[in-house]
Amino acid sequence: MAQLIHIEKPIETSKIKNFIRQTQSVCPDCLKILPANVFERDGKVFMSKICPTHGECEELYFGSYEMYKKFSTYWMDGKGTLAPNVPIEKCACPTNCGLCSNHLSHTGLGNMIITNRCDLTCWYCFFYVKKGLEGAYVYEPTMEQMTAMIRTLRAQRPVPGNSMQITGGEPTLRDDLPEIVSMIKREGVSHVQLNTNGINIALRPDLAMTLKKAGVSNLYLSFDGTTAKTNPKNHWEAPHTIEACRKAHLGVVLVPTCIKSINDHELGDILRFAQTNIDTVRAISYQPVSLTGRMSKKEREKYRITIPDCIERVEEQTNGEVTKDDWFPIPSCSPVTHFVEAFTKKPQYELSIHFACGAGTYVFFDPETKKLIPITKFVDIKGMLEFLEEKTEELESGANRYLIAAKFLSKINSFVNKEKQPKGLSLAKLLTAALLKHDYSSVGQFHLNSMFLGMMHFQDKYNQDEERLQRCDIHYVTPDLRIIPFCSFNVIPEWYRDRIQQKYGIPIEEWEKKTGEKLEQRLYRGTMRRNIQKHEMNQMACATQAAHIEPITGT
Amino acid sequence: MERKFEPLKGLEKLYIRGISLTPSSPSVRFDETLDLTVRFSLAGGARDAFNQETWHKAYENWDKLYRMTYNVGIKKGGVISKTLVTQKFVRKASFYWTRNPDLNPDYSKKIWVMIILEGREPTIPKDEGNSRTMLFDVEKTFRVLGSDLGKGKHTLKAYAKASWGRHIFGEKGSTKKISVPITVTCK
Ligand code: SF4
Ligand SMILES: [Zn+2]
Repeated sequence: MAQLIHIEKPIETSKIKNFIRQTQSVCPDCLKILPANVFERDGKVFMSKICPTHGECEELYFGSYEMYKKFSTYWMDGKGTLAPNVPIEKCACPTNCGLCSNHLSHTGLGNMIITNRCDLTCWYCFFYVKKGLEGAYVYEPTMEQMTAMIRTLRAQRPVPGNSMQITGGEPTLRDDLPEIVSMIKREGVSHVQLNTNGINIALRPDLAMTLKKAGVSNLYLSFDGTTAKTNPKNHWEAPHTIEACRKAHLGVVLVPTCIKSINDHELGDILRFAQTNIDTVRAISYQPVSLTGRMSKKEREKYRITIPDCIERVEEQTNGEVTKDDWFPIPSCSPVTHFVEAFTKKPQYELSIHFACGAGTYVFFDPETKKLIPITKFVDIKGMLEFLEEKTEELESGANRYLIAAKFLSKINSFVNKEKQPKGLSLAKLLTAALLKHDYSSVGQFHLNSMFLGMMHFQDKYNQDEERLQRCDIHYVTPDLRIIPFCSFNVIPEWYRDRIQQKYGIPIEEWEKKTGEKLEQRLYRGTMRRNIQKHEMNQMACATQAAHIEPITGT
Repeated sequence: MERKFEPLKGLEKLYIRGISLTPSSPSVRFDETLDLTVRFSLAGGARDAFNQETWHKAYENWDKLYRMTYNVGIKKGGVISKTLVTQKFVRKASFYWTRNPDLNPDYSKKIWVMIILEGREPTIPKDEGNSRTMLFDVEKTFRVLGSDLGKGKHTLKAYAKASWGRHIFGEKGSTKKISVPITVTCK
């Protein structure tokens, strides 16, 4: 999409105290593209930019400079896309997303919105379609459109998109959801994740099995806290959703949106809740909030939380069971990918996002001590990554692959402390099978009693960094057959999300006529909450501590 | 983009220049410490070609990480010498697309470098010269006890080895050198 772009002159960096790097961002008011400085102050990292019309905007970028430094050592640009949908010479992010030729990560996770209808009406949500708004439309792509979108994703080179998230609105409102899932699988996508508030599955537990049979790999379940106050969305329903998934052998990823002063005191409790459901909950994906809409600096300071802040909260709230040293930035996977690439001589799926976008770790549950054991407690991750980097270079310099395989086998055990390794797990064997033989059959063993903990910080207009955006690997597929990075699509909805959906959506009245349904018909009326007796609440609520349970608020 | 390239032709091989060993004092007491500083530089074609133009070529060919492995140490004794201290470390240069308007005023594909020194401290150098200093100039100080040396007069020499893989900057290879011996007395 051609846009008239204004790029301001950079500020002299020598005048900035504790300057780290310069990048580009947008003015939160007028979207003018501005140079932005990233700098350190009081052990934290900030971003500042000056719009000639709207003045300076300073924002917390990363809550710990120490962690910023550790994470930045893993900065590694990816392969990008060799089949861009928007061929363009000069880079002018974020104005030409599609992906354009300059994007530096292929799709790690593709998102497809299948409806903008929702069964909830959360006050803070700008997304779902509601009556009474001028020009409101229902966006629900047809099966043909969706098939074409998936084919666009699969046409990516050198690595075809292989992981999809179906999202909304609330995707379970579409009755043809199982057919959509089957279509995605038929088109060759191996991993299909369903982003949901889980309410429909709680109401109709058989849906979990239907979705599993259709090919859903796991739910991506919104879960903002362990109390009704912090999680008004699905506090009472989520345990039923998880139970339905348990019966269907369908994995669940809990997705808390973390907001300072609202639910940041419950990050540890969320982990404990997940731990009690470790047979079904495979992961937690903490998402520090991205602040949408106009907000004053004071308000932003009240709610803003970043990845290091969340990591620190997890450490405090788990009494040090999961510490800040246990986390690695997502691109730290690169040495593993590059080793396999050098070994197989084939381009591999890689997670080459910016180091400030995401972090992760694995934790194992020890049934004897009832404690969590982060992977770093028994694996020398840093040492292993260094070793893989060295062996990759040797392979790329012409070393014999059998010789490297032998070196790998003789060394891999030294990175694993067998005494501290959880019982039933042989990580060295598993890595050997996966990295040398590409046999992932034993990976299931890894998931046994383990959970992936992830952090993913989506950007907003205040902290937006084009260097991050250019490396984003969470993308949207759209009916105009483009692939748009998440943080363009949602951060500048007026250029992307709203424009595209309006173009491909239909007015509410037309949709109602076409389907014979009323838009409000599928709204969740809180039926599961009404019938709950006080004593049942105590049994079923997600809270791990009874003291946390709040009375039900109006539904 | 594909990782298929021929290293730059006609570049002189990297070699170690000016290796020296400097003690903090010519003598040390048996129960005291002595600082011994090893300094050297890598010189040659890859160092000269370590500039934005070549970083760009490397980047275009998926050759985005350049590693230098160093083995540095001090030996004690004359003809038959014994290793007193030694350290192996890696310095890395990671090439990335910068959007810093100072380095890339027109936001075209401009590749810059981040140097990761041993201990994993990342630094974005101000200019090309700065990046060469960070990657190819080494200064290491080892602290030893007089008792590590033993009483008497000692001949000490520094040694250094650098090795690298096949990259745009040249074929894989290594180089090593020993410093002029110095004498240190332990009382
Ligand atoms: S974010 Fe990516 S796709 Fe969008 S304009 Fe920038 S490089 Fe191109
Ligand atoms: Zn402005």
